[in-house]
Amino acid sequence: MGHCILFFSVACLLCRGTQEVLAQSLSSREYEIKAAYLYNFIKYVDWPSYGDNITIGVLGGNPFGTALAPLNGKVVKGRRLLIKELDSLREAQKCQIIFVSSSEKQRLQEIFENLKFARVLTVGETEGFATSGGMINFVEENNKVHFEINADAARRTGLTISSELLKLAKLVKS
Amino acid sequence: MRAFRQTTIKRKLIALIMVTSGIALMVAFALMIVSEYVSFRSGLVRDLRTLADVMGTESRSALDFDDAEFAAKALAGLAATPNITTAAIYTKEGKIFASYLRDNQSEPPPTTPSAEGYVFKNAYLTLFRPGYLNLFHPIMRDRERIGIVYLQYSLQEMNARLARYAGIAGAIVLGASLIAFLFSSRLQRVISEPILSLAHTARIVSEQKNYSVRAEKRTGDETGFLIDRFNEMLGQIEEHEKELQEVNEQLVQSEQRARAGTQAKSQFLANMSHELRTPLNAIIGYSEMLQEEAQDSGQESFIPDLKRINRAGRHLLELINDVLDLSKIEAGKMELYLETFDIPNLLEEISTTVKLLVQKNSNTIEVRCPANLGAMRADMTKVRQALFNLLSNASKFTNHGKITLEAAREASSSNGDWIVFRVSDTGIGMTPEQQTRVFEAFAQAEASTMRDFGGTGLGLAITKNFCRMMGGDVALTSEPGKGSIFTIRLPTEVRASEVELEAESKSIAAPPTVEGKTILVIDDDADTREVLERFLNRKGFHVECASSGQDGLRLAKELHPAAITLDVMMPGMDGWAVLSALKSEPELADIPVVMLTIVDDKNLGYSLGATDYMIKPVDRERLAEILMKFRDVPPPRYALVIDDEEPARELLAQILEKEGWHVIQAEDGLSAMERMEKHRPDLILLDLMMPKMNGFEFVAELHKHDEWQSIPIVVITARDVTIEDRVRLDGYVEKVLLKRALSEDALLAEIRDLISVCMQRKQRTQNKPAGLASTAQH
Repeated sequence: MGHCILFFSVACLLCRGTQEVLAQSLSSREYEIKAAYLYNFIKYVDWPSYGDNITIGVLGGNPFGTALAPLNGKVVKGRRLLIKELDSLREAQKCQIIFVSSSEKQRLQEIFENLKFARVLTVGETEGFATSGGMINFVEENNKVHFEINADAARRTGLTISSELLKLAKLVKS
Repeated sequence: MRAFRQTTIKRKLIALIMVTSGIALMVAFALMIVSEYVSFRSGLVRDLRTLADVMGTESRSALDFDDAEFAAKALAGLAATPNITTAAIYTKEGKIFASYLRDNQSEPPPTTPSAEGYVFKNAYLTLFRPGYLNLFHPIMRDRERIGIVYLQYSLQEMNARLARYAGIAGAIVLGASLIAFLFSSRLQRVISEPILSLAHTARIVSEQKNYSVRAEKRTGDETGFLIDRFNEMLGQIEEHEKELQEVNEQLVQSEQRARAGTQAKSQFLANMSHELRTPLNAIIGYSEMLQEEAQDSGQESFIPDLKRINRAGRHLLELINDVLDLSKIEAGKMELYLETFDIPNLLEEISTTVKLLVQKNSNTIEVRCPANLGAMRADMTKVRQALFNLLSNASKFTNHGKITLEAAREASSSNGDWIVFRVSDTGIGMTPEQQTRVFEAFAQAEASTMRDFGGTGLGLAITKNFCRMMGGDVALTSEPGKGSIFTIRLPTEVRASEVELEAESKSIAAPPTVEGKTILVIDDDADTREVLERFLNRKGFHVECASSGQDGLRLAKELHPAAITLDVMMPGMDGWAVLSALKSEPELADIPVVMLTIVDDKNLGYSLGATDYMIKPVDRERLAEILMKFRDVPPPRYALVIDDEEPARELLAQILEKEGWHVIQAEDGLSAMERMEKHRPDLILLDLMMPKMNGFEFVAELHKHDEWQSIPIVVITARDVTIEDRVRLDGYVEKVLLKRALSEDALLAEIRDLISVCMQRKQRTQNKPAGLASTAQH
C-alpha cells in the first residue's frame, strides 16, 4: 500500500513535471523526463525471461543526477525495479535496460558487440546510437524529447517492442 | 357519447370496427417504435464504448510519452464516423490532452470530464442529452486508469429515423383505416341490414297498422331468430286483430239487437199499460157511477153486483200495475221522480185510502205521527205505494186486529237524517223460513195463500225495490201467531243518481189547502164562525177561522187566503186595527177584506182599505156573490176534454158536468184545435196517447198561440209517464195525473184543486186593477 501511494505521487509529479518543463525549458528537466521514459519503456517491452528484479543500469557518466533515484525499488510488471551505476560491461549483461551515457560515445561498437547476445534493452542519447546497433535513442526535436527505435536490433536479441511504442517513435535501421 | 347512442346502427358498426382496428395498429406501432428506440440506444452505447475503448488503447502510449500530437492524430481518425461530433482525451488528472471537433458547429469538449452535473469517476458514463449522447470512457492499463476518452455522438440521425418510423406508422395507420373503413362499410351490412329491414317493417306496421307485412329473413343467427319471432308475433297480432274485428262486429250487431229488443220491450210495456188500463178505468169508473145512479133511482138490487164488478176491476188493475212495475224494475226502467212533500199529510192520505181495506177484515188502523215531523224529499208516489203495499198486506193477514202505521225521524251522525215508517199488525205472523222468502217476487208465505188471501205476491218485492232505489231498505220482524212489523228506512233527502233526472218540485205538491179558494173568517163569536163556515163550505170555499185579531193576522200570513171576512167588535185587537195591520203588510195588502159588522162606519172601513162592507145580519147569498168574485172565473166555465177513448172521455165529461162545467169533447189534438177556435176553454184535460195529433204535439201547438198559453192543462193518462215525458211537458202543463193511481173522487179533488189554483193565479194577474177600481167606487 505504501508503495502504491508512493508510486502515484511520483507518477503525478513526473507527468506534471514533464509538461511544465517542456513548456519552459527542456534542459533543466531533461533528465527527469528521460528517467520517466526509461520507466515507461518497461511497459512496452517484453523480455523473453525475467529474474526477480528489473534492473536499469547506467553506463558511463551519470547525467541523471538524482532523477533516477525515485525509481529505485518501484514495482513494475510485478517486479522490483533497481537502478545501478555500472562499472563494467560485464555487469551490463545482467541488466534488463542499460542507459549508455553520451560519455561512452567512443566505445559504442564495443558495447554493442559485448551485448550481442545479452537480452538487454540499450537506450542511448548519442547521435547515430540507434543506427549503429543501439535499440532506442533519445533525440531532441522542437524542444521536446523524442526517440528513435531500431526494432531489428531489439528483435535480434529476442526482445519485443510493442507496436504502441513503435508508432510513437522514429524507426531506424542499422 | 349520447350522440353516438343516437346514431344509426350502421354508423355504430363502422365506428366500432374503425376504432378497434385503429387502436390495434397504433398500439403495435407505438410498441415497435419504442422497442426500436430502446434497442438502438443500447446498441449505440455498446458501439460507442467499443469505439472509445479502441481510441483509449490507441492513445495509451501517447499519454505515457506525452505525445498529444499523436493522440490528436488518432482522434482525427474519427472523421470516418460521421455521427461523432466531438472527441477528447483527458489525462488521468482530468486535463484535456487532445481533442477533436468535427466542424465549426461542433460543441467543444468540457474542460473537465463532467457533464450536466455528472462527474466522471471510474466506470464509463453515458449521458443522453437532447440531440446528443455523451460518453466518458476510462483508458486503462494494468487495472490503472491512465486517461479518459470523451465522445459526443449526435442523435440527429436516430431522431430522424424515429421520426421517419412514426411517419411511416402514421401513414400505415391511415391507409389501414381507409381500407378498414371500406371493408367495414361493406361488412357491417351483414349485421345491420337485417336489423334495418326489421326496423323498416316495424315502422310500416306501426304507421300503417298493416299487420300483413313480414320482415325478410336473411341470416340464421340471433337476428334471424329475432325476425322469425317478430313475424310470428305479427301473425298472432293479425289473427287477434281479425278475431277482434269479428267479435266487435258481432258485439255491435248483438248490441243493436239488444237495444232493439229493449226498445221493443219498453214500447210493449208502455202500450200494454195503456191498453190494459184504459178499459179497466172505464169499467171501474162506470161501475162507480152506476152505483150512485142505482142508489139515486132506487134500483138498489143492482148495487151488490156493481160493487163486485168494481172490486174485481180494481183488483185486476192492481195486479196489472204490480206486474208492470216489477217488469219495469227488472228492466231497470223504473225512474225516480223526486219531490218534497209533507209526511203527516201523506200518512193522513194513505190512512184514508186504506180505511176500507182495513175495515174489511174488521181491523182498526192507528196512525202515529208527530205533528212536527215535517217534510222529506223522495219519490212520493213510490213511498205511498210502498206504504200502501205494507198496509194492504197487513190488512190481508190480520183479522179482528189492529194495524199501526208509525213514522219517525231518526237522526244519523254521518249522512243526514232518516225517516222510519213502521207498519205493525196483530195478524198471523210468519215463521223465520217464511220471512226469508217474503220479499222475493212471486213468493207468498205459502203457495196457497194466494188463493186464500188474494194478491199477486209482488207487493213486498216491489216495496223492497222501491226502498232500495231511494237509498233505503225495508226490514221485517215477525213471530207466528203474534203479528209482523215491517220497517221502512229512507233518507230524509233522497239523492238522485246520475242517470235520474231530478224533476223540479213544484208548488203542486204543496198541501191541498191552497190559497186560491181559502176564505179566512175572523170573528170572536163561535156561532157566527160556525154558520159562515158551513155556508161557505157548501158554496165550494175552504174556510179557516180565527177567533181573535192576532190569530187572524197570523193565519193570514200563513195561508194567504183568497179573501178575509172581518168582524170589527172583538176583544183585544179590534177589526180596524186588524184591517190597518193587513194593509200595512205589503204581502197581505192585496188580499180583499170584506167587513162584516154591526158597526155602521163604511167610510172608516173603505178609507182603511176594506174591499166591501156588510152590516150584520149578513145577506149570505150576497156575501157568496162578493166572495165568488175573488175566487174563480164565474160559471159557466168551459172545459175541453181530449181523449181518443170515448168511454174515458165520457166519464170525465160526466164528472165535470156534475161539478157545473160545460164540457167540450175532442177525440184528438187536431179536432181539439178546431173546437178551440170556436170556444176558448178555461181548462183542458188532455190524454197523451192519441192518433193524429198526440198530447205532446198538442201542447207544443197550443203554445204557439199567445191567447191560449194561459189555459191550464191537466194531463190525465194511462200511459206510464217517464222522466223525459215529464221534462217535455214541464212548464206547459199544470199537473200530470195517472188514471190508474186515482179513484174518481181523488181525481176530481185533484182537478178541482188544480183548477182553482190556476184560476186564482190568472185572476190575480188580470183582476187586480178591477178590484182597485171597485174599491174606489165605494
